[in-house]
Amino acid sequence: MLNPYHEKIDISRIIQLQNYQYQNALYLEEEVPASSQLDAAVSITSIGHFMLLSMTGSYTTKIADSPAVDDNINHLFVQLVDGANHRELFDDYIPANLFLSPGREKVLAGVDIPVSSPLFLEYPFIYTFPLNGQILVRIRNDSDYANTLRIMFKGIRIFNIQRQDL
Amino acid sequence: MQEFIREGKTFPFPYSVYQALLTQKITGDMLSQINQNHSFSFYKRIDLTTGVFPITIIWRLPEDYGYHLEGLRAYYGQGENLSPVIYYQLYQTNRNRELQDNPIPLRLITTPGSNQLNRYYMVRLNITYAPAAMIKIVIQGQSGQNPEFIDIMTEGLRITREYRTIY
Repeated sequence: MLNPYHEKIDISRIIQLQNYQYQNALYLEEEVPASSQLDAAVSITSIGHFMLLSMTGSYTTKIADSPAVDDNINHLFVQLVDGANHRELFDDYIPANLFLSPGREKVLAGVDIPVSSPLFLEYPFIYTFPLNGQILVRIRNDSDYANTLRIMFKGIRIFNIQRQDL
Repeated sequence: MQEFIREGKTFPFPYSVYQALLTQKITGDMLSQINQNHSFSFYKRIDLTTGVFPITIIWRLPEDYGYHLEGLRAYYGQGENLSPVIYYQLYQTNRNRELQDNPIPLRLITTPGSNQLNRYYMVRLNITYAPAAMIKIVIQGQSGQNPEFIDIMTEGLRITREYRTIY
């Protein structure tokens, strides 16, 4: 945040800078079928590079039963990858409950477990995804029921350097 | 590590990057640097059902990058109704150094901890490991009073030797 006591707020400068860079959020929502894994992706597109700064997210915790049961235990495991060069940014599949807040979503009515704490603490993560690349999210679901993962990637969109000369 | 730092390997933007966004134009050099030194997380699940302690966790860094450890996150498996007495002790192998004088209860430095809480506070660490070093954690516990497993992950920065550019 700008500190008005220490920084001169130069509106014309800020407006000019926003021709090159601005805050941006990308969203991923994916339902992972029971006992399976898949690759989901967010396209960076040709607008510009995307400097990821943090993530927030949530996930469902359903298990198979009749009717379905929410057992309140994480079943989704995630590996973050730079899709442009397949550089792994997590060394392994990491449980969603370890790095995502607000965390578990209560999606079934009448389940005798508390709603997860509505805390939105960002998971700080700095990485630049190049334009035309993708944020690749490998997801594994060890439940016998489909579960959904939602992630917001928050960062800065930076136009291609050549565009600055246009 | 000192030599490694002298080579000019620096960490990426601090989180005041939002401030920089409004006052400083992000250049290609900055982008390249962030691509070179970027966030990275290690993860391991530790089986506690054997009841045999201590358990040693090692993440071995390759020759081409170091790691700046900023924090640990942990989750105690299915043990939300238990009060597991799990201790950890952190080592920095490139300096052959114990980073704590004694094992410390894991729950003192990490959440969510138990399943129900879903809180994500974490004590900040500030430890730099050289390339080829090992991030070593020794887990201590008491037999018969533990959850089935611990999930543990790191927050931190991977610091590569290789200068990469995205252009």
